[in-house]
Amino acid sequence: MSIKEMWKYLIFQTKGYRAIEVVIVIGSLCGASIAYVNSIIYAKIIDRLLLENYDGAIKMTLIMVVSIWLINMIYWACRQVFNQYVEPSRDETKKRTARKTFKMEYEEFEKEDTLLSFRKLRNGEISSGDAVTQMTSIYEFFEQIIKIVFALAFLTMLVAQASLGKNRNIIQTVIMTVILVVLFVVSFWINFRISKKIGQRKVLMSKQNEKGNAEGMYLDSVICKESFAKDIRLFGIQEYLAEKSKRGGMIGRVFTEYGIFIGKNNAKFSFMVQLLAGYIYIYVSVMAMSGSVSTGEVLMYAGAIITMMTGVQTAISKYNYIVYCNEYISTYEEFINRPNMHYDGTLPIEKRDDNRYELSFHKVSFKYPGSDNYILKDINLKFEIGEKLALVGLNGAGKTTLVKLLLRLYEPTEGEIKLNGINIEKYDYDEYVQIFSVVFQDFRLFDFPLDENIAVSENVDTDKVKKVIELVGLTELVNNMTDKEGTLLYHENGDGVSLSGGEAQKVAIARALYKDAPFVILDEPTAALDPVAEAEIYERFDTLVGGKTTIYISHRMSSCKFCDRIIVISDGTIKEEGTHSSLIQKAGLYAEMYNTQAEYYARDNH
Amino acid sequence: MKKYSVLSNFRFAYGPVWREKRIFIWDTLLEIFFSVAVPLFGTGLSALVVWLLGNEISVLSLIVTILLAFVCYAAANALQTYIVEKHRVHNIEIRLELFSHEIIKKELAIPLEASESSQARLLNEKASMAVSSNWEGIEGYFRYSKALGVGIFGLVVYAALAGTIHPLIVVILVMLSVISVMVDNIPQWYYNRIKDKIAKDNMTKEYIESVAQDVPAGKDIRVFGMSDWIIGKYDRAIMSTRRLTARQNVLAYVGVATTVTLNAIRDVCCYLYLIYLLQKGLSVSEFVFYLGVIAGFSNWFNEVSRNGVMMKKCDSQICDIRSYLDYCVQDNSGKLVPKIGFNSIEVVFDHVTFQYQGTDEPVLKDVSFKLKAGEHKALVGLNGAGKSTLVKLISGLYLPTSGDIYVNGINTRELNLNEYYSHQSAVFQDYFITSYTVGENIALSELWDEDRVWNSVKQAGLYEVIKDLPKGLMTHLGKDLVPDGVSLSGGQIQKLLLARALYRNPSLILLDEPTAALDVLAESEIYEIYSKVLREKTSLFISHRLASTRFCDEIILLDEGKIVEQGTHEELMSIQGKYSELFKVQSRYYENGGESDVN
Repeated sequence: MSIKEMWKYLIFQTKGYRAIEVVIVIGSLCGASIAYVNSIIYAKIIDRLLLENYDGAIKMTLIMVVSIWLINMIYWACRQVFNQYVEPSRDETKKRTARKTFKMEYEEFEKEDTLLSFRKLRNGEISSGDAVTQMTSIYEFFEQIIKIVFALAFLTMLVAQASLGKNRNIIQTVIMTVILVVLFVVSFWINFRISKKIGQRKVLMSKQNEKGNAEGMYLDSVICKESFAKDIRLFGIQEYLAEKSKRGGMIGRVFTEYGIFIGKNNAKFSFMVQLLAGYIYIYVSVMAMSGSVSTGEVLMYAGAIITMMTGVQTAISKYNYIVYCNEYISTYEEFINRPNMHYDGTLPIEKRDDNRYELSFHKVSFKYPGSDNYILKDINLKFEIGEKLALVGLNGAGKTTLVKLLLRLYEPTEGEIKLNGINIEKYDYDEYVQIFSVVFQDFRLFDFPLDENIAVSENVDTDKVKKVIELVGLTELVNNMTDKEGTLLYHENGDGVSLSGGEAQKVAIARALYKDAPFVILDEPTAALDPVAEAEIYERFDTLVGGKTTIYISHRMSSCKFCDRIIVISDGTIKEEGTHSSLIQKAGLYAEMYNTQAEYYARDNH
Repeated sequence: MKKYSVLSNFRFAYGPVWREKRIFIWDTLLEIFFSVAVPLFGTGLSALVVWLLGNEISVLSLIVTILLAFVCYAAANALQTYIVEKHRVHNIEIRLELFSHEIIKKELAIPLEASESSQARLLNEKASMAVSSNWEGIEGYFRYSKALGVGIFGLVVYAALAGTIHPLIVVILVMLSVISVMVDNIPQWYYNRIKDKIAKDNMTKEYIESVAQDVPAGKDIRVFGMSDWIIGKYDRAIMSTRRLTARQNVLAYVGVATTVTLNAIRDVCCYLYLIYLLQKGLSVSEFVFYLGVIAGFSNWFNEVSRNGVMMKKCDSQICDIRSYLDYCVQDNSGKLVPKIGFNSIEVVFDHVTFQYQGTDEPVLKDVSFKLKAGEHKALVGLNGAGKSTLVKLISGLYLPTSGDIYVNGINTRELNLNEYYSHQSAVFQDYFITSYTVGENIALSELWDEDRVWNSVKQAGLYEVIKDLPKGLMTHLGKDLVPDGVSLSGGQIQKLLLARALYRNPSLILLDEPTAALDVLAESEIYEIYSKVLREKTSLFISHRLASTRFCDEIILLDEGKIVEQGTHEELMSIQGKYSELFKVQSRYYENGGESDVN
């Protein structure tokens, strides 16, 4: 990452807030100059004291204290302003990432790789720091660079003073300067090699740690999972898990070894640096003895050069850190810059009061990219307006895939799906989904207020919410809640209320009803309910959906009987189609499935 | 909560380290020494140079003296660097091996009922926090206690040196430092005021981040167009935090500015006083040395106050760890094993009532029945009737609130439960599967008997599937741990759980709605297997689908915590009670359908 790139990164992350540039420049200038201003004036004080010029020394002291005070005040002001503008960028990045997962291709999002890389981002952030630490590092890196530039100026001054002074001893100066330069080069060469070695070791350590961490986190999740507690005790596998966890804990030794490695190498380096510092003192002192520099200046130059050496060391390690972080931050950026749904058009949906939205599948096939197995093959299907259609089939037959295709969560591999004769991909996605009310089997409610969950917005039509709550039979429950419709759900976002599986399902149905879309899809809405609640939902079903076009997915055959048409899907194709009685008469797959279930109850039918 | 003294906490933290990783303690002491000695040495060096230049000595002896001093200094520096770097990460090893592991072991050792109480969960949460961070809890305790040691040692040494100038200097330095520490605490004080609000914002942010990873939620979000709603919440949280931190940053600046100003005042005073002393005969090299000491003084003082505060926080977290470890300690000695052993199991409920802690009403009320050896019993009832609780009581995971449960004649309160557990197997609806290998999942151990595993797999009807897996029994389940793990279908998982149950060769099998998530054909296949392999075992089968209990000898109907009906299917149907009513509701959709149409 070049300095220019770092600068751009800072500006980008702070959203082009102009003053931040000024703040960074002034702040790092001040930060770098504190040490130098201090040593310049300090040298003058010492020299005056040695000459017993006490008034001069006192004057210098006052100048020093005031100027240091002033620089510090400016420096910290810049620092606080910087913090204020940098802190939110951490959340901004995360927010953009979250939004991306909402907007990206669902098919892409669903992939295990995507989630893994997303999880990795979050873990990476924990171990390597986030946007804020990165920006702070860059800021501090700039400060160190300026420090080094200052020190170089001092060094030039020193050499000039030594070789141009009145008592100059050219040969001595040349020899000592050459030794100084050689020592410098050697020590930086060593530093460079050591930081390279440490960098390699760090990569190795992170890899070991990442692997260990993944397993450790997994194991913790197993041990902490509430529903596992009974199995763990009943099967007596405490030892088995504890042993695994203990072995996982050994990862600590990887760190210790790493620490020893770093310790040894850094010790070598700091030994070198201090010897070099010693030589600098000798160098400057010898100059002082020949009268080229004053005693005060000895402290000044030695201090400046030592500041420079630590500056270089810090700058190198900051730089390595920035590069290391950048790798992970760029994966963040890469994630955020992934394309949104490309399966998106621009056509608006014609608003129709008569709800005449006609959807049809034309030779639609679907398979996952890179796979040879067709999940659905050559499906031709027309959803008649106002019809109640049941989709049945065994698990994995392709029922849900068909719905996902209809909702454009998946894109057909072949064939097309049309709405009122136009390929659905031509429509604007946000407009397109407005015609659907869906209850997925694995629906989710969110840890926000109940009414917002139903309205999926902060702008809630309270009367409408009350009406749908009444329709799904939750009025009593809601009235007993502390904040009525405004009650927060669940516990992850504050102290809300829990809902049972059945209640949650009713809320999900209420959400679908609130949307009041002309096309209703219910994906096994009763799976989590017990028989009585199930029967209740069935009975209300007609009133709930009214005259809307409805697709009903189930593996419980009994729930299909009231549908106008039943489609049986098996192995990705439409195997049978008809009404309940016609399919039973056909004695095919539907009849077989129905009878298997009915058999359990059959013994009582007489 | 029990109170733990500061001293006993110190012993709790350092005791295990002293016993098992003593080198850590030596390193701590060395680091404390070097952290003070090295900077003092450094201050001495500049004074030395000034002194050398002030005295007329030869160039050679100047060079030799400086070189010698710097070689010593460099060596001390290198040693310090080594210890600091090593010690810094050694803390992690200490935490993981000596403390984190104890919490895990404790978590696994608490009896189920106690572990589910809100108290246990709270204790666990706090204790886990205290062993999982680098800068908090136990590891924080080690880090801050060392830093505090450094601060105290430094303060003592520097105060002694500054005191030789004038005792008043020490007093002034302490006073200025106290003020500066107090001012420094203003932003912290303000943070404590706003931290609940910030925590709330963070909670929202974290929650939304977790939603972003939730795949099924992705469907709802897209289809209902929820993105703006949810992201809007995130924006609101960011804005709120930003406003709060803005004020905190201003206050932080006030704090820093005060410290900077106080330092300026201190410097003026000390310089002037030392210059005054110079006129009285103090040497310039002493002047340089003392200035270094004075500049360092406030540093040590800050170290002490800062780390003292942090220590206090970590100390209370040590209390969290200890309260958890002391919570509900089990004594297993003197527990009984029935004379006839557990080769066949008979369970008798005698007026059993059970109530969860912190609830108003019992889940089970006065339940009595007998599960005879070798019998297959079904337990049916609506959701919330108390079925799962009853299973946990049978298995001994819960003990009754009142009444008694006898296993082969021994009361479960006196029974050696671990021994009893090892003779039963259970399959719960929220099944337990790990991402380790198939073999480990069946044997629930790292050392498994391959023949026995294969045998169980065959009996469970899973042989074909496992045989065809790329690594057979060594195949991992799911991709949590390895990239080439496989996922099994719902029916296959049920068979795997059955194989696991069989591997243990249990005398009692408990099945808690194992097939609720399966489709018809898969469900009926599982039933067939169960009725075949369970023939001789005592078993209890729970369901809310009444029809699925047909391979059981007898049925118990549980309603609102009470046994309302009991008998064979035919008996219960003939009495025309609750059971037959429920059965009719469920079978209604089949009544005038299939059979009649086909016939």
